[in-house]
Amino acid sequence: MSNSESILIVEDDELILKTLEFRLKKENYKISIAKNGLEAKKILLENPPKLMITDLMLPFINGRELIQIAKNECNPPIKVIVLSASSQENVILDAFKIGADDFVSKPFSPIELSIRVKRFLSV
Amino acid sequence: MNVFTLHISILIWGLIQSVSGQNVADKKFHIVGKNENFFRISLKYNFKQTALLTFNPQIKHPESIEVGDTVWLSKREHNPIKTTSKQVTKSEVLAEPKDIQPSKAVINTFDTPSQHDLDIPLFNHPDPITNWVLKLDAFFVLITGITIIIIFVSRITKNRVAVRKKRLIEHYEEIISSFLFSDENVQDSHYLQRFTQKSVAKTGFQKTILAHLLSKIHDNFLGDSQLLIERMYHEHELEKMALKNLHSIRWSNRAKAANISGKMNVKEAIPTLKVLVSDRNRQVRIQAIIALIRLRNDKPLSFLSGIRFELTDWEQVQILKALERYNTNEIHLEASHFETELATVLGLVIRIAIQFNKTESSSTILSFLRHANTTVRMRVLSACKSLTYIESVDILKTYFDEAAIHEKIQIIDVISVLITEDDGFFLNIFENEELDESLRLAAAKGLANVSNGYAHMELINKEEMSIQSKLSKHVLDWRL
Repeated sequence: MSNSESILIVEDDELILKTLEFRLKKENYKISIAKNGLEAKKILLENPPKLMITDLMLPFINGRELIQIAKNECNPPIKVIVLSASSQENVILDAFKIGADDFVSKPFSPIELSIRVKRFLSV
Repeated sequence: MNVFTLHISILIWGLIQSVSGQNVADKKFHIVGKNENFFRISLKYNFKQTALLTFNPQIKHPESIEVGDTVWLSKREHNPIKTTSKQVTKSEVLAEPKDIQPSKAVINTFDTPSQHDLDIPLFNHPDPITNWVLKLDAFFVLITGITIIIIFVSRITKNRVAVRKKRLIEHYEEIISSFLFSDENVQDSHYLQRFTQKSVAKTGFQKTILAHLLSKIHDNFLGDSQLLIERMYHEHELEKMALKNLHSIRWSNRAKAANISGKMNVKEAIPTLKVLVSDRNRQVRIQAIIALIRLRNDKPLSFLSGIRFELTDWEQVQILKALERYNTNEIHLEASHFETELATVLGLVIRIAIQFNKTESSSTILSFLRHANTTVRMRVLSACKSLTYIESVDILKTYFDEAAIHEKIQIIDVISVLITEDDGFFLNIFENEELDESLRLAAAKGLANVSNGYAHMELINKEEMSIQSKLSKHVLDWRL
């Protein structure tokens, strides 16, 4: 299978970041990673990916702001999957309201996330 | 580093000072030199002249001491030494004053102290306070120096451990990621063996880090990945460490061990966890309870029988959350047959029962109200208040006739919180003149809380009752 779609993973937990990177690299996606909001913003503006998987609670710039950048400042707008420990209804609704395309609550199934990614990138 | 150098300098200076101070303190006598008089000698050795004179009864006229005379610096109780000044000629001393060596002079030229004299303790010092200050000075400087050295060494060690830890974490992260999402058949028994071989964890340090990482990633994943992490944990026999830590003196170790035992499905931990539900530390207790719920113990609520303390609201919420998340099956059945005299636990059991099955809970509550002691009954009634389930009202009304007067007041209070409109329950109590005044007063308060209570105000005003004015005031206070 060959796939060269680029994905940005923004996650401050290094272990989750590494496992996700490993999982998605196996499916031949081109992966860039950011451990905080600032790094992510830089990548979004300089080298925009096709999809961003982001946590909401991040150092320097939070996930909410990143979603807004991905949707308003990037052309074409970047698809966003939010990966958050919060499963509260208001948090999920707020994420969708500001433009998130999907919401995955932690704990999550890596296989399920992979399927969701595939669905977005195949559109 | 500059601070460190400064401290070392202070240390060395202090040691020199203390050593030199000791020499002065040790000196037993002084040979009068050129340009010295009795006053100067007393200053030099920090004595009062009168004190120095008491050590030298042979000196009758201190102003007339001569070069070469001996001045004793400590009291001599036996064999007072005769002055030897006459044995050294003035010219001899004047000729080479710098060459005079006090010790040699005593031994070779003067009448030397007898062996008995030499046995006198050296520290028979006239000023013990100065002596102690010097000793303390040296001691504190020494302690400061040692402390600084310890801090310095521990900082270096800490940095080294941090570097080692970071490398180890990176190493384990790589291995865990690669083994979690490998293409190989994870059911193959050799697969986990290869994981164990690659992620060597033999020392306690390595095992702690690996266990922490596996636990962290376990929190984030679901499904097969989670099961695989549990298998990785057991393959490394990390559960042995958790079982050992359940008995640790430190509460944080016990809490962590309880947490990971529940997470990683360590069934062997169940007996110890049942003991830990009564631990003196709140965190340990709650982690043990959650672990027991996660381990799907034979009966999910059986751990409650081990509790010997009052559960706080926070603990009750944690238990409910854990039950909701990890185990909800058939809990109401268990709750209805639960036996304990601990009021808070009973309240919790009722909450659990109601949360999972309302019908079953009605009989549970009635059962508790009819069979438990007074304290428990009052707790059960309070618990009903916090439930805000309208079904509780019927149960409470059913029990009302059987209840004692103080319970009836409590029931009226609970019902007034649960309902918005009175169906005549409060009004009937209020209008019944045969009833106790306090009960009618409670009913009046209840009426004040409900939306149609105001309509009964006129009735209150029309009635000619001893408590009329009191009731009206209460009702009005409430309404306003």
